[in-house]
Amino acid sequence: MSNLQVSTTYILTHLGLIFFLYPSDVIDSTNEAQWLPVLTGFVFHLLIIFVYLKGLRYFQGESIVNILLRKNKIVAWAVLLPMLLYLSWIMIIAVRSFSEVISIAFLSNTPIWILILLLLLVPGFMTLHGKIGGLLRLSIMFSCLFVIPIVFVLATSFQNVDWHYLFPLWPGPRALHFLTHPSFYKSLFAYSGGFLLLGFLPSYTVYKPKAVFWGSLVILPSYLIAVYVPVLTLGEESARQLQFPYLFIVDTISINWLMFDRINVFLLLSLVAFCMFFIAATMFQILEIVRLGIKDISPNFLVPILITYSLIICLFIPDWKTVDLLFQWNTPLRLYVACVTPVVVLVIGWLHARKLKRELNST
Amino acid sequence: MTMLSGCWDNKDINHRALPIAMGISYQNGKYKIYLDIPKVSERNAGIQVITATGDSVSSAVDNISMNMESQLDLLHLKVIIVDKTFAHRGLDEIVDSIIRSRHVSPKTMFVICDEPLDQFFKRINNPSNGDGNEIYDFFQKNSGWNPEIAYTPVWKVFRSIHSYTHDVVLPVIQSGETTAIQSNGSGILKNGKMVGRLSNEQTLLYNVFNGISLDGKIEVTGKATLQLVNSHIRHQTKLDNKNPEMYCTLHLNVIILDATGHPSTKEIKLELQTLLQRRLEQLLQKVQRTQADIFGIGQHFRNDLTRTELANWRTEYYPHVKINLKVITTIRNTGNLKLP
Amino acid sequence: MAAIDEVNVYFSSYPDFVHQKLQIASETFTIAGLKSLINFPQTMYMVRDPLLSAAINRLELLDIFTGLGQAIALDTNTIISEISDGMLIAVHDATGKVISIYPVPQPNSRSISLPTMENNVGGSNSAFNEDLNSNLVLLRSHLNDNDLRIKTYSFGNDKKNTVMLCFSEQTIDPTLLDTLTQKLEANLNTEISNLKELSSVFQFSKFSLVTHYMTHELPQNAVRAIKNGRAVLFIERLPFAIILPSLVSDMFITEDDLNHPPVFSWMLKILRIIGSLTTLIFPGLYVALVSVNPDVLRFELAHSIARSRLDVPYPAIIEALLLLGIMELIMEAIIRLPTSIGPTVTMVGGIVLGQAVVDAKLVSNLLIIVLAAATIANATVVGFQNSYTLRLSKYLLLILSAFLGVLGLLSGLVILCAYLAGVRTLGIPYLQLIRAKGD
Repeated sequence: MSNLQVSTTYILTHLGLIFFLYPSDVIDSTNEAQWLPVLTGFVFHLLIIFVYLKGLRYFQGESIVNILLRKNKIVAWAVLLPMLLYLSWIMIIAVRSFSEVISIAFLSNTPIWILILLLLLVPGFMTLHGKIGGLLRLSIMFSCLFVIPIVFVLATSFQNVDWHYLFPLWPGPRALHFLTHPSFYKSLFAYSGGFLLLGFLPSYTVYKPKAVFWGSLVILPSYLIAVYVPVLTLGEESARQLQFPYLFIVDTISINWLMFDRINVFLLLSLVAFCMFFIAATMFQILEIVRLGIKDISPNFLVPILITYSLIICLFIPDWKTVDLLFQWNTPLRLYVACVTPVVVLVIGWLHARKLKRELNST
Repeated sequence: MTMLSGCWDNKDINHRALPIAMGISYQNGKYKIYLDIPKVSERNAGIQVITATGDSVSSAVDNISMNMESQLDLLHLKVIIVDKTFAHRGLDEIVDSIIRSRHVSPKTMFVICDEPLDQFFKRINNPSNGDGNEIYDFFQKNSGWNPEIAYTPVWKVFRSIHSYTHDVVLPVIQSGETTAIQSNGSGILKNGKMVGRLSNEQTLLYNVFNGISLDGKIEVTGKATLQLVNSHIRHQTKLDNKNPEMYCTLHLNVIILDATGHPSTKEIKLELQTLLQRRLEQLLQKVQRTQADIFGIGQHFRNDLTRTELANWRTEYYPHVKINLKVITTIRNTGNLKLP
Repeated sequence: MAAIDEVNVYFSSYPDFVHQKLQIASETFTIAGLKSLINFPQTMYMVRDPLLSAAINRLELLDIFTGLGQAIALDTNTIISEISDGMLIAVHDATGKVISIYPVPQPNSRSISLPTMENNVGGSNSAFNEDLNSNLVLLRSHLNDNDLRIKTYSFGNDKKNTVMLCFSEQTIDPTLLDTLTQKLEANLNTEISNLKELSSVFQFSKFSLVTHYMTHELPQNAVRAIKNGRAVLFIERLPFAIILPSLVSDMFITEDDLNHPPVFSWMLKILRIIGSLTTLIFPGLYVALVSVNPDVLRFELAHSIARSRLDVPYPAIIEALLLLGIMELIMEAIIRLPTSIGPTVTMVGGIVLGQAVVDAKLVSNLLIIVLAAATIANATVVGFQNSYTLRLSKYLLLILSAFLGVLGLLSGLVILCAYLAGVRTLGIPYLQLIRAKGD
């Protein structure tokens, strides 16, 4: 049961991120053969979770904060502080950008602060009321509730696809050109957003690494669909013009027998639920770092403080351009966290195992 | 409850005006907008046509919503009718603003009107025509739509504007004598500008060629009328030193509706082959002259051409395209009467 | 024999107190008891018969007498409490020996009969009733298992009541059992005669929106719960088994399903899930689509809804709340009304009022359909406690929808899910399927 819970949690936290900004970043990063950046990103993602889980396996049932803090404090904070900063940063960006998406998509009349508040209060309630056990169980319930609309929309989004846009499959000598494009590194957020959570789970539940890898296999098609459906329907040139290519494509689907005219509402709503879940998971990670690393303050105080701070910062972000800029600035920090954290955990774990072995031999 | 009425602009559905069609005409640097709003009333009677002018489309719409008694909501807009002058001038700006604003669904149909919009809206607004939704029903796939009519939503026009290899045709209509609306074939749109016309029959061929399975009628001259039941088409391509060639196999599944002079099924098949070949040839020549790739032929050569070559598809390759059409007809049945 | 006299004085005003002498051979016995609780003629026969035969066979009368029941101290308070509990007290006058005899009781509950609140289609039909013993009989006959453990607690100092805890040693989650017995044993002094008092013993939140226990009248449901590792409580004079903890699956799965072919039982489960979603979402969806997001609807539908709401003078949320209020009133009234006039009121409320309200242009036609669907769907879930949860939470969704449209509807659903995911009963998470496990 807990393996399944971890898998679904892992899937949901990523699904919430894939369909909004990711497609346009990937389409920007290359002119053709979009599968290359997608798969490169995915392999990068598999690599970091492999190293990360390997490192965590050396310590049974310990949270990453405890693992790091048991050794050198300076090393620990060199990892934890960027992590804390990164998590709060990504939470604020997520809240701000999703509120903007919602406002564009279906609530243009509602003041933006209401949407921001909603996107903070609901996840706040999730973390406060359910704790991590509640979040894990919630992931199962969400997947039961929303899997039907998501799969339905994903399947119907192929309605207007022109498969000729798939070609050429191999772009020739400029194949790896995307690696030099900043948009590619920006797109990596869709892979690195949720993996840190895995380090916080061991102290609450036991799971096999296999569960995570299965989960990431399930989301691979969503990465491809999110990028390829807009490209296949509109072609690269037109898809590049769009802010949210996938959402636009879903808007072009027409189904005669449905009583609803705009199918993308189903997709958007499901995704908003997943986003709330993602924000709640991020909040939980921030709480864990603060409580285990700095001071054990009751979540009843921490969560409201976190919400208020985030709300104020979100209100200071005036427009979409700033959000995009923050996103771009976030890239180096993201790469640092995604690369350094797993490696440090692995090294500490390896040293720990060697020490244990030596102690075992000496006795 | 004060919050409900205060800071949110949530207006109930019966306080919103939901236009189904919008007409846009361009005269002397000014846009004139026509909105076709079905009346919400007990008896479901008729439509209301509202007009306004402005320097841009959105300012004209603003003018209307300022003067309306209920909130104007363009989200249910189904058809946008433009007049010919506007279509010749170019639709790219209006398409861009539609895609940007999200107030109009990208599924909205684009239609060109053959007569002045004033006259058109006056005549379709005639209460004897029916409940006022004709313009909407006319393009509905499950009610009035016909394979002789092109079906082009806004997003396809948007795609064609930015695409190297895809152009579209828009239906051309005018108000009819006995029916509310009459189809006058379609207009070829290249990069958002209207550059030529197709007849109704050519539009049918266009639809068949683009693989839309449909149930149109084909008249084989002097021999028979056939009902298309099902069609699918296969393409094979060859690029021979800047001379793209295309081999198409069209599988037609037909039912014979009427036959004159007792032709044999073989004769009918042969006649159909030559007829379609001739028509396609004419059609191709016509569109090649305008350099508008409405069949999306360039799509089939994406694997053979590099991206920069593809960017010049319309000017360098497209005029040299040759299509070899082979028609394989299956006459599913001949109705109640036997044929030799 | 001062003690006996005191007892006599204590009970002197009781009309059902019986106090008489019994002479067997040379010995005199005093017998006392409450005839409202004891079937006296039969009990007298039961007491007198062994004594007489002993006298005839010249056995030691006193030995036989002490063998009739349990010896207790000659103490006024003890005797009074024994008599109050429905025991027969016999005193040997010569030695002052007091024996408390378990008498033939007066029948004080209905016989085992059909369930009144729970309907079932395929299963057994005898229901629990007010008597603890017959409940135990039913439970044991449905579950002939060596693992079945039964613990009895006597609650209350002045007003006493018996509570019986049944569970299966093998399947129950140990932490659940621990907290359960600890909580029960720590509160032996409080009185438990209803579910509210039980909840306060277990310290369930007063503001909880989901029920922490299920009540079942049918023994097969209780047995299924025991097999799945849950605890079953019986409170004296409450005609149902209380199953702790309740899980989310209790809304959708009943023991009765197992008597149907699997395909149909799955169909029924899915129907109940659809029903619960319908009752939650429909009213909110109506409000969201009518007042905030009409663009989601197809044009034809939007147009016809607009026409049906043509002269309705207030926003959709008020309209919906108005009619929902009336619906709740009707539902509450039906429970209070005698069965003889219940259907009439339902008809007047439902048909006449509904039609009149539409004709008077107070609400739209569609809303009536939406509300009827929601109300009917509300009844598909298993257990009336669970239907209360849905009945209340649909207002959360309704209000949020009025503010934020479909997004509000979704947030309501998310909040509800998050709430359910966080609820625990005695350390057991609510959001589990069949087995009750701690985490």
